[in-house]
Amino acid sequence: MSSAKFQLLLVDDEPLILQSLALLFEDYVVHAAESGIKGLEILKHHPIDVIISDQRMPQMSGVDFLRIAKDISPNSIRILLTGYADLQAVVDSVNVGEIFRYVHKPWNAEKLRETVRFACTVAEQRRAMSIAKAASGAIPALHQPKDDAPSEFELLFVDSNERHLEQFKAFFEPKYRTHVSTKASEAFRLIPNHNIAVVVADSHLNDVDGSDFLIAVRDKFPHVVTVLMTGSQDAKLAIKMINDGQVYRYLVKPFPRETLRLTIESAVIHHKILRENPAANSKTMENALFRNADSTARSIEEMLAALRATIASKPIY
Amino acid sequence: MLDYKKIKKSLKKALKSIEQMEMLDELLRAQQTGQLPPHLSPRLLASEFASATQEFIQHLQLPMSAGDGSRPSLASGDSAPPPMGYEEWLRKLQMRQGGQPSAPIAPSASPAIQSAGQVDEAVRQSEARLRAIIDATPLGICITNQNYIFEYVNRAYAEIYGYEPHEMLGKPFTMIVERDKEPFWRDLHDKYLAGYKEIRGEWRTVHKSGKPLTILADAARIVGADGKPKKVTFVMDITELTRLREESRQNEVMLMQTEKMSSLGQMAAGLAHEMNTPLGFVRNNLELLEGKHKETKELLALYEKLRSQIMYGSPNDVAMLLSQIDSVAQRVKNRVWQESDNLFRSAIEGIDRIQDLVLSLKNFSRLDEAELKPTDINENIESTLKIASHLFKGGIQLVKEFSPLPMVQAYPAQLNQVFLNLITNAVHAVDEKTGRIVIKTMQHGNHVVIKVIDNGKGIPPENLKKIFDPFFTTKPVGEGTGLGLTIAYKIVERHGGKIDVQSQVGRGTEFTITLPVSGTATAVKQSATSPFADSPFAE
Ligand SMILES: Nc1ncnc2c1ncn2[C@@H]1O[C@H](COP(=O)(O)OP(=O)(O)O)[C@@H](O)[C@H]1O
Ligand SMILES: [Mg+2]
Repeated sequence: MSSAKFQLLLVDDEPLILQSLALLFEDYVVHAAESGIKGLEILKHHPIDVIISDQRMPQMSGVDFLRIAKDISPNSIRILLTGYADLQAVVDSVNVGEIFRYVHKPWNAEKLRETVRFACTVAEQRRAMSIAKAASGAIPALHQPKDDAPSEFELLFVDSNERHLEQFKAFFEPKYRTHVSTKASEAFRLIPNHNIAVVVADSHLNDVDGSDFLIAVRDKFPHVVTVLMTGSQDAKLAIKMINDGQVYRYLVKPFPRETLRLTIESAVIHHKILRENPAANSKTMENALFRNADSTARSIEEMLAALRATIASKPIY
Repeated sequence: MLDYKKIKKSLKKALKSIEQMEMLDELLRAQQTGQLPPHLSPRLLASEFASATQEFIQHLQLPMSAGDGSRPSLASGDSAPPPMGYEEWLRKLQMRQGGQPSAPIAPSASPAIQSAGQVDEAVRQSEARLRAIIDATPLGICITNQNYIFEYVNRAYAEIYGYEPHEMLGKPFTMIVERDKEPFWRDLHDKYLAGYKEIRGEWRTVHKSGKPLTILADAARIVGADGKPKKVTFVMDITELTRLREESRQNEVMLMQTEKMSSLGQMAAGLAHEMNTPLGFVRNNLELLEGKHKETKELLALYEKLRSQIMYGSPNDVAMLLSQIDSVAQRVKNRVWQESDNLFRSAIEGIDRIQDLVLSLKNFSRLDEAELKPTDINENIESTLKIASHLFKGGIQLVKEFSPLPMVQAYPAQLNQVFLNLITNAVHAVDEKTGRIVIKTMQHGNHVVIKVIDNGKGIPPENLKKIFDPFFTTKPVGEGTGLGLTIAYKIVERHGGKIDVQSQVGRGTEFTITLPVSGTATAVKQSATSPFADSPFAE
């Protein structure tokens, strides 16, 4: 596969980083910008497949840049490559920037190449899909107006606190049929038997770690969209959820009800996109590309064991 | 929804820590100014002690030499009127305490009694005054002879050590010192009676219960009727004061540490990024060059093969090798190859940059240097600016107007903490695009003046009085602790300098630090060094 047709946009206030990266990706079409403002300018005029941006930059931060970039060029895959990002920036990079990977500086050249190669294939699929959609005129509106018509999709909430579960159920029913569980193992068995679009889990569960659970869900059911709720903010956890779990949102408790509602609405739309075009799903692609997926594994424990083995063999940043 | 319980709880916590801070602050101020509260002021205690001793010795009207002849408080004793008989005085004292004249009284007691009949009115008056003083004084007084025996102790003296006076009389004074220091104390006693002067100061002794005591002591030499020299010792129990002083010193150290950690913590984020960025391209460049190096080696191997094929192989083989070489050479000469000089250059530059940062961190913390030393203020500001450099990457303009400065006797690490805080405060106050921060240094006579001037939002007059208060901050949690200026104030004060502020809302703020070039008078806590190797000085 020749990468020459792919276009990269590099954004970093350090020119020597740009120089170095441009040579790492010399077989791509590389655009370099020393600021977010310049990056946005380039984005308007070139079909960029993958954006690699620093976080700490004067004037416009990486997350701010990626948020606007997402609106200008929704099909571009966004990667944050940074020497340091505070917790808020990491969380925002998921929720606002919808980034594909979080990579630390200094990076490993070969692994970054691999990540970018993979990101390009995902971008290519996304573009193909959106062209098809445009032709049929059915691009789903991202900001759907509030509408209470019952949905065909179902939700699953997993939390060790039963009172919270009741509140979630009361809040989303009857529009969405809402399943709840205090146990990850039970929840995991539930998914294949229902039309579940979104799984929301707390990071603290009774049996397994909530973040591990969501990573397993994503791995086994790539079309399901995952949302992590956590009370303790932790940049490391957030980065793990981005890189290994492709979590859709990272919610820090307590959050307003409206935030949860909007999150679920857009997660359901995201799920529709994934289901209608599996090729657009980076997780499906990744599974196909990188894993000899153990399709016989059934229980969450087996899944987790298999998953840990895969993660251990995957690029780590 | 608000969790009122939680809010109430954290408010209570905050209130408690503010109360603690206030107490601490009061204590610190008391120690620095000797003003508040009077019972805790070491200076007051010392002067009270000195005047009590002086008065006592005057009333004693004894031939004596003070502990320190040069000390004015005791000097008047030198021109004392003719002495009242020592033994007479001693007997009276013991009678007053209700005790019997005890065994070790000098054998020549009888001539003293004879003279007692001739005591005139003036002496009687003087004795009455003496008693009043002895009764009222919290000063412990004892008299010891050449054999280290207590010949006299007053009630206060006995109380300090937890004994009744009669439990001490006739016993060697070493009962109140640490067991293993007894030889030292006897030696000191001998030396003192033989004319040695260094005795005034803080000493560590032992209470009856075994717990250590810190006392402030002074002494006078007198000659007994037996013609033998004796030592009159005046002591004051300062154990509690010493403990409080130590405690508040530790609290202050802790406070400074907290501020340092939190300001460094905020710096760490910026520094991590500043270091990881060059690390990023250095590593990447090296990996690119490593790949290139491998290809070059491959090419070289082919070239050597070509040599032997030219010598021994067929033209066909040679032709094949040549085309192989061509294709590898093609691969080698890509853009990484063309840019390799630059890649090497920037890798080295990156390493230099990292080295620079590490060095400035070291310079900033000055962990490996003596605390107090001649300090180049300009250089210190430079190293502080270096670790704060990422703050200026936005669009904030930094103007340095440094004048040549003399070396200042100072604690560089502490001054750096002050500079860092003033600079971060200025950065926080200004607009990211139009901000301008001027740092000026200059010499005014024997003072060094440092100014940090910003064109930021300024400080409203009602806040101006509060900015040095502990925990006063207008910044969100995580950005401000409210300790920066509190600590800055203390550090500058410790250097014998002062810190001033002028501010105008909407216009900007100017902080001015004035440091004496040599005036570290309050900065150095010189302790009297003992002439003895294993000194029991409670320092
Ligand atoms: N240069 C300045 N400009 C405006 N306000 C300032 C400046 N320096 C200090 N202040 C005010 O003084 C307060 C206390 O400062 P400081 O003791 O350093 O604590 P902190 O910076 O953690 O808030 C700040 O919160 C701010 O309101
Ligand atoms: Mg401050």
